Amino acid sequence: MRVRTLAAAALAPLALSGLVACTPSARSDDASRVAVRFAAAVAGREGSQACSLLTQKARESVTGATNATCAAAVLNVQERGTGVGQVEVWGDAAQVQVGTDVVFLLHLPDGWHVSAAGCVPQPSAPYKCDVDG
Amino acid sequence: MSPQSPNRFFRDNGLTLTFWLLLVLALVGQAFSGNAEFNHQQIVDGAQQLSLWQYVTSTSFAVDVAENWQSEYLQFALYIVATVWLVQRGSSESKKVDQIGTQSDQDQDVGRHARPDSPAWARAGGLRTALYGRSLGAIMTFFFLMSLAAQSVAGQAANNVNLLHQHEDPVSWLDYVTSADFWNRTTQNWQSEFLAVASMAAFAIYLRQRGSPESKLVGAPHDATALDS
Repeated sequence: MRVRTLAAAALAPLALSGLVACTPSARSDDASRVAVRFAAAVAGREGSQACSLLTQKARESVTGATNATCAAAVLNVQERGTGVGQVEVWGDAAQVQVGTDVVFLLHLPDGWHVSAAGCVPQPSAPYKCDVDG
Repeated sequence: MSPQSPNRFFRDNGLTLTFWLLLVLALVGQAFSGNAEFNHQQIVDGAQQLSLWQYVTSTSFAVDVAENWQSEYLQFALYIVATVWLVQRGSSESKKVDQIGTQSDQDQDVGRHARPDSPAWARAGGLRTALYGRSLGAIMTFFFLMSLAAQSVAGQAANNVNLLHQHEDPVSWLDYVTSADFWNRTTQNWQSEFLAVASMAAFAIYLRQRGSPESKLVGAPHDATALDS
């Protein structure tokens, strides 16, 4: 009993790290599906469908200071291919490589939404993205 | 068991119990304030806010707890081991200057010099006594290393969430433990612990706290070191 108590106390710090270690594949699958649907919608000229997958901030970033609608402006995003490459999911955020694009997503109460797309890496800086919410 | 037993228990263990209580209160305070700050940043990022329970089981809370735990355990581990070999003349935090080192078995009441009421492993001699004689520093070092490991794992995850929110690539564990975030969190805690130890060792030479075992007797001379006083 004493040994078990000691062991539990000793492992307390490990328990802290255990809270963070798992990233269930279901979450990465869900994030990938949304990223692919977004890329497919843009490639298929379905602007409304693509906009419905964006976060609020991303929708605002697409239209910017113009009078264009989100559905029209989002079609300017460069999406080539829907093949899924590397997927990273950490907490409520994800990064999915779709075709030649890198898409960032946030997990909101109603599921994954695209927060950035049409992204190009920058040296020692955040990606430069056509959609950047 | 006499009716006064609970009172005696609390009196006899007041130091430990009080600090456990303070730990819990401080953690509760950290949970509420940390959750508020975290959720503010989530709003800025356009991300989902977390409930209190979700926050205290998050990597963000875990890394903030672990980074402080590791530095505290490091402080005590270093202090326990360093004071075997390092002394401070006149400080109540130091042993006498002519007692540097691990001292003799007779000085330490171990092996054949053990007292009748000495712990069994102190009487046993050999490896068991050698291990037991270093168990305090070892357990503090163990908790330091475990807390540091927890900080590195939780910190990597929390840092990667932030990086993804900012549309940057996440980093590997190895990249994280060599990153500015990890070492900034670590060294800012270490420097405060080292300052506290150095201050305590020096202040205890000239200043007194009547009734505290951490202080020399109020009337003890400044050059009296610990057990001299």
